[in-house]
Amino acid sequence: MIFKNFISFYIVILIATPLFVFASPQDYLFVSFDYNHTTNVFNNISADQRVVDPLSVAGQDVGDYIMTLEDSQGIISQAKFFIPDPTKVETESLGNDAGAYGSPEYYSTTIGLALTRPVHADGGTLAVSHNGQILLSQKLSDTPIIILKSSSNSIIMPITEPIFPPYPADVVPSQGKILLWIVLGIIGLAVVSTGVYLFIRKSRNSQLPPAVPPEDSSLQ
Amino acid sequence: MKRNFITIGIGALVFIAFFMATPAMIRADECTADSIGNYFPRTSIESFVGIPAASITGKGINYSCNGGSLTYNFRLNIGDDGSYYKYKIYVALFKEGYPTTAHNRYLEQSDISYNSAGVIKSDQRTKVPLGIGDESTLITNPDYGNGAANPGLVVDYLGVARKGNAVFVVRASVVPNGNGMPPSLASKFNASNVSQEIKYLLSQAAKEPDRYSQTATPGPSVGRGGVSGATSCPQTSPYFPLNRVESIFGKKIGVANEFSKGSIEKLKKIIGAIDPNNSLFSDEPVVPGTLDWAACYIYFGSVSGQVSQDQIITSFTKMDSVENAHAMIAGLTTSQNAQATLLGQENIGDEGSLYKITGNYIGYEIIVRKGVMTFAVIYVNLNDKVKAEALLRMAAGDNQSSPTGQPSPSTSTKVTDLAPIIDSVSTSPTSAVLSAGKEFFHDQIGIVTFVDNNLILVIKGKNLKGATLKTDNIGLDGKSGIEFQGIRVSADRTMVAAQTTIKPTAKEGDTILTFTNSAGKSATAKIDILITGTQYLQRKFADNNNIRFFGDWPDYMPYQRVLNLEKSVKNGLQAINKNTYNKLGIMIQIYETNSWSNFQMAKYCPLSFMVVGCASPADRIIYIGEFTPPPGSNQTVEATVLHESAHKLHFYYEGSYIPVPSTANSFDKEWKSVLGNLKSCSYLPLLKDNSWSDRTKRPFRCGFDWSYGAYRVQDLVLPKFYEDVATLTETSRLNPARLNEIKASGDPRYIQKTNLLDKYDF
Repeated sequence: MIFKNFISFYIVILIATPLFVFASPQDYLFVSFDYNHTTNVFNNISADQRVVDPLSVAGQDVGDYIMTLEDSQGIISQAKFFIPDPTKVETESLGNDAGAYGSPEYYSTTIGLALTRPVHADGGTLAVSHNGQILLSQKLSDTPIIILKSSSNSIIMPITEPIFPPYPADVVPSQGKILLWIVLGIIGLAVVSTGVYLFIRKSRNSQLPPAVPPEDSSLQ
Repeated sequence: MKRNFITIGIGALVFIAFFMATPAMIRADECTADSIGNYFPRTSIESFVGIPAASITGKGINYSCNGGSLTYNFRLNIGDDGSYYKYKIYVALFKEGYPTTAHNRYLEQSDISYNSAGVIKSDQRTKVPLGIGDESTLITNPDYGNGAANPGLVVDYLGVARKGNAVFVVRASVVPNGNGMPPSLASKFNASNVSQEIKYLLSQAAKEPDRYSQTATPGPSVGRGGVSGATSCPQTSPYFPLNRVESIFGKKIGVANEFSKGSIEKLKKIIGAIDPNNSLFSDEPVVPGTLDWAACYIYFGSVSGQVSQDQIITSFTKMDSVENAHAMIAGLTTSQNAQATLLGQENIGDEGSLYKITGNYIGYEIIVRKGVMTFAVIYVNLNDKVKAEALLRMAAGDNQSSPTGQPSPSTSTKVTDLAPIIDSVSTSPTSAVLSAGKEFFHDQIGIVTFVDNNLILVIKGKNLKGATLKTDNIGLDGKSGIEFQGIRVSADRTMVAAQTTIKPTAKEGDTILTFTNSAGKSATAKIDILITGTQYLQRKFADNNNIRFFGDWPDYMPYQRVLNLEKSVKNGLQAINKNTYNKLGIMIQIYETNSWSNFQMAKYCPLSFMVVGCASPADRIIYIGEFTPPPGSNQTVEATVLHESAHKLHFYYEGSYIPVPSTANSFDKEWKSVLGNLKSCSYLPLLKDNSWSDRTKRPFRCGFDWSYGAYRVQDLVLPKFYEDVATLTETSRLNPARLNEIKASGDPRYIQKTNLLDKYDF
């Protein structure tokens, strides 16, 4: 493309830049769940974090159910979705050499929630509401999460103390060495204790008030 | 004799050895504690769910051998009162004569009523498949009914797996006598941890490929039915001293058998005398210029028990020229018994190559050249690559063609005395795997999550004092994939052990481990970080937020089944990569076979027969089960992806696709007009099983691709053409040969229909 002057070039840049910005991939938490048409219960909730183009998620934000991700600082992300009415449609089941139609018991779907800031799994909550009524509220820490990719904003998993298998025998100090350290430790402790005792005793001799009140004490 | 006989032609002998050894493998007279220890290492049992050994105040371990079954019974008493809390891990191995009898044993062991001593409360237990071996299951609270006698029995898990002729059992339980578990135990002995551990133990026990399978491809076999009974390798030892092999691999050698140019020629003479027409060596490829060769089959561990798969092969070949030696390095010859695939180059000796071997013998081979000599090490375990390289560095050393002396690794690596030298990198316990996290399968949800893989990394070598460790492994989250802490060095500075955490997000494949000693000198080694099939699929499709995998593919990559699935899914995605499909926002959910058939299929697809996929106009989802089509069927995953997607597009065109509202267009009308009057079709109406009236299904007739295409087209109230459109879409996009065949049939409807599919961009 050839521009007649720099101004037209800048105009193109200014118009195009927001498109580029919006199209840049960002962190998303995709929440998958089942919905039981009979019991109207959401369950089997799991999530995976990916870095995807927001345009690939945007068109799916429709429906009268709302999924919310929030923590103590407030709402991080929300997305709309819908639950289909199984009585009004049929699902085709394709077999190996046949097929048929009917109504399934469960509906399963995945909702994308933009991660606009890091979230601690311990403090984050997933909630589903419908017409202002909370249908589900589940802590992120109770939700199986797979991190497939993250850039700037990630789910921060709780830190647990790692438990390692024992060291091989060759690098574990021998019992003789352990005993030696114990003996040396006891000797050191004894020396320090004696020193502390002598110091305290000396200090008491010089500073402690007389055990017997003076003759002119008002107590008499 | 030709050099490639070392790796390939030997397959024939291996078959002989295998069949000689097979009776010994399946006899029950080798019922020793040692043999079960090979499958369930004691260290793994003792570290069950990470309960520190220090918290165990008493433990009793006993073995029993009864009719071929072998149990390995741990009873670890935890708590203030040594007898108060009974924490029991029970593992057992049953060796049966045939897969069928092993299957019966599997059913017996996983039968709840068999395991229950009291009243069964079926509502208190679950039974889910584990995806291990040929069949497997995990039962929660199998003996819960016994709670009447032991009201404090709060947790009890039983895992059973069968692989070929072998059945493996792991059971873990805690009986706190009604007073509840101590917090130190309760935090670790929970459903999540115990299920994961049982699965891990069973998968490790059944891991070695087809150890017991009579139909399996055999590997080299030794032991009581061994090949030659020799315990040394006189010709190869000068290059690969056996004590050095033991040192580098950190294991005792059970048996070492040598084949050489001389011994094979003797064998050929013997066989020739018995059977002059024997074609045993007929497929042996010829490598010109081979002057001499020998190969040493080294088997680690005890050979008194089962036939061991823990083995390597070391070999050398002397060629008549550098050119011919180079030709060997550049391309291993293949035969019907084995195929070699070049994976990369090795910087050892004058030149070197790394090959993957498939076929009758499965493993890896590193072959290097030094002058006219070539040296090779074949190993099975991926983690042994560093060790194989250490052996080859020593063999190639600076010696030309003479097998005199054994140059030390320090000579060959050309470093100063103060520089660290890494001979080998391994794990402790040896059963630990360098994998990106440890997996946990949430069976009800059908997904796998991963936790940190904590293990001890053991580095052997020289000048290892004052160690610091780091790797170049950057994980999927941009952070370090591998972390080290608690680094300890042995007194003689030849071994370093580091507490190592491999994150679930760690990058798979080659990772450079850099070791720096107190002198500030560094050495590097390569380690291979493994991922399971589940991780592989998740990672491969991470950028596409419209595809998800459910269920577990627990084997480590490379895993052909998963590679096949990946290819099939990619083909399916390619077939629907069009604007018409893209605007529908279709989400594809792929389910592992067991997960699909046991749980998910019935949940999401409305019918009880074995379906491969389903789709509805009400949502974006396509549910698809991993499926290997039987002969004669084209219903692959890619075909199912396209078939169900075609339905979604058809729904959109008729205005019934709820996620993306649309107004009906003329597609259905045009299609109906092409169909014409079906009364003249003598194969209609379809029978109940959707076959033509002559009970066939696949022949194309009356303008339909196959019988299912005519499903519902004759409905009196509301005829539908969904299956006609979807089946013909599959054929027109994925099976051009059949498309040409049906177009050439003379029925103009086929051409008219495919034109319509093109017009509406199916």
